[in-house]
Amino acid sequence: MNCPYTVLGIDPDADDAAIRARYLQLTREFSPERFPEQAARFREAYERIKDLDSRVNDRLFSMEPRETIESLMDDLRNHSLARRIPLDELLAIRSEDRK
Amino acid sequence: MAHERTDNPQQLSFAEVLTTYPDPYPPTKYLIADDCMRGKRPDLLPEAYMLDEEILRTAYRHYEAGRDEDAKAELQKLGLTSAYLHWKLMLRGLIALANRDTPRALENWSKIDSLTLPARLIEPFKREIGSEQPPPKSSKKGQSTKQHSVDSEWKSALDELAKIQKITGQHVFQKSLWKSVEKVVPIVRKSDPECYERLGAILYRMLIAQGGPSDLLQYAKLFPAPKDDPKFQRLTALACEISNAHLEAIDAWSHYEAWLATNPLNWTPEFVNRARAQIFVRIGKLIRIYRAEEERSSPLDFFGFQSRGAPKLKLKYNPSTVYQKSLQLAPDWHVPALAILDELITSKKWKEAEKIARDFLRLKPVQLAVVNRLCEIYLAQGKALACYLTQQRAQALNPLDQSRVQQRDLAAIRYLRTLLLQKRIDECRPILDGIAQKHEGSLPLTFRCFQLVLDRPKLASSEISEREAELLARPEDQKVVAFQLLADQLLAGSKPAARKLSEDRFRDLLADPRPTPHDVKNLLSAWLTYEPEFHDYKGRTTHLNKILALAERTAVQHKDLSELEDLIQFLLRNEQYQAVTKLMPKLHKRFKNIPLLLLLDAKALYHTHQTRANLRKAHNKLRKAIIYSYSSKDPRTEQIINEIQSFEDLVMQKIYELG
Repeated sequence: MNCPYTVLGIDPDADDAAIRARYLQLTREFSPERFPEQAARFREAYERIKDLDSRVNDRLFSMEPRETIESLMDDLRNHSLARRIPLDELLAIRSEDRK
Repeated sequence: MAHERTDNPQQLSFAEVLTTYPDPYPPTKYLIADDCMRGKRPDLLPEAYMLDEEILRTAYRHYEAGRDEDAKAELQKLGLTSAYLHWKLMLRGLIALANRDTPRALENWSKIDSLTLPARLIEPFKREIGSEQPPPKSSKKGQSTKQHSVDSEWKSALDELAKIQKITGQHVFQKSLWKSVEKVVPIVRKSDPECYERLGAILYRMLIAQGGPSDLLQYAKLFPAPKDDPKFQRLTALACEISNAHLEAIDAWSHYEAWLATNPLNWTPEFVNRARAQIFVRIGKLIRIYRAEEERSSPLDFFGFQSRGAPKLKLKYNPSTVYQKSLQLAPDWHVPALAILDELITSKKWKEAEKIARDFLRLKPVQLAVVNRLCEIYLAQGKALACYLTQQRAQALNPLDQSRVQQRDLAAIRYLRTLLLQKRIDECRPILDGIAQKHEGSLPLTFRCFQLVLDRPKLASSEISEREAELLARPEDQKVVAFQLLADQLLAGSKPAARKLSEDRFRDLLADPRPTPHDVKNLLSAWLTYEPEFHDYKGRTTHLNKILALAERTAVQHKDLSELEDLIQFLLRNEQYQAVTKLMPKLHKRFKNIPLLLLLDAKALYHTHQTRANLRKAHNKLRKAIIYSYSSKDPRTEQIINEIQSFEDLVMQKIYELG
């Protein structure tokens, strides 16, 4: 997922101060020296939503994909397993199997 | 036995089996339970079977509805001897799986008898999980079902998504993409509306970069328009921007802005206003790009004839209007303010510009770009004091910003020299004290030179010599100190006799020691602070010529090529084009076939006289620069080639314009 709010784990209604506080907290937990990749992701996400201008810009003009087909496929794979299959449907598959 | 019965009526019925064997061999009762679950419940089935089946079905209904705790509680009622024991284990596993607890699911399923129907039902799940457990060995049916997935629809959806992923990795959409999307959409729309929405969002963004109008039509057939772009105006605008259809992009953005103006998305007023303001700025930029391209568009066709070109289209807006609208919506946003200020400064509308800058700084006092513009506006109107006070205020608001300190000091020395010219000596001292305080008691060199000129009439010659010696102590500062002492004396109107020593010293120091690029840069920077609008003194041009002559000497004598390149770039930045064209032949003689030097030479030629002959010369130099770049070992080569190529475009454009 490339959604900056998801990356930072923050509510989409969060204000400047909350976003900054969360970013600083993450930077403390994942210091760039020890976790360069994560830190870079947090930095990029923070830059996209750090103030009103950035947020509006991200909302209106960003062409960055928020997520990829790949991530959707991953979720679908998990979801298809975790999906609650009604009994009729489950037994119907078996009926088809037997044909 | 029970199974045989179902296919052969001559055999014993379920009821007969159970009557004959009240506690049959366990597999038999499991198979009876399986058939019951398949809806093949026999007559006269003992009540215990029917009760257990009902418990199992109730538990399953709880599971389907997501009430897992209720389902588990219901399953508790089925004991170890129940004919539905394996159904119980299967359901417990499904509950665990729904909660993404795969190990627990596998643990429950591992206890299921492989002869039973639940074993075959969970087999595809186990395969999906990637379990290494062997499949049940029992029946041929089990083997055949191995080929099937839990949900063939989902599997095909995933396959089609994989195809979409492959296609969208290319630069443009292909027809086959929509075939795959058409297959996926009915599945995910029905089973997982959230995934359907997400797929729509992914394709929406991809459409902007890779799609065309026909793709948009396909998209609109399969997905609803996003809530924040119900008429696909934003998508159209962004896609048009990418394909350089500026007018269409402007049109789409203006429609989108009009839609946003009613705040249909219930954004906060602050957010919606800033969104509209940003759109207006975007429109302003597009208008500028469109106009610039229009001016440059196809002056000559392939055969060199003047092209008539497409008829010029009228624009709905002009940049000033859109920037004004933007500033009205977001009065504290610097982007439209700066755009308006730059237009007003270019057209020398100082009063209007001053008002806009001051109004803006009331809301955002530390917006440094606007502070700088205001100072520029003040300077153009001869308001050195206002300029100094503005810089001082900005610096006080942002004390850690070193560039602000420099700007404030520059404004201060400018104002001090204005006072000196007007002989308002007494007013200079408190300002100098203030500057000293801000520099922890010690004045920067420029101010110390100024102070000495100020104090000079009151000092004995020995004191003057002593203070001058202090100022000239560092060899790397000597030339610039000598220059400033002389220039300030000229501003102060010192008598020629008093200036003589300073003039001789400046001349001598220019001659010896041998000048470095650093000296030339320092001297030219110092000379530039004596602006003709404020501090024009007799001999200012002579001083410049001397500095430029020094640059020429440096080109002949200095050894370090990178420092010389840096000096040439500095001269070009400060518009000393002729000086550069003059010293370049000397540099080319010493450093042969250097691409960057050729590029800088071409730049100087381009800016000196834009005659056809000069531009041709510049173009030839760029061609040579390209050729030498390919054999150059300079690590900056790639960057230099890019710069050469973009500058070559500019030169060619100019040559075409000249006809």
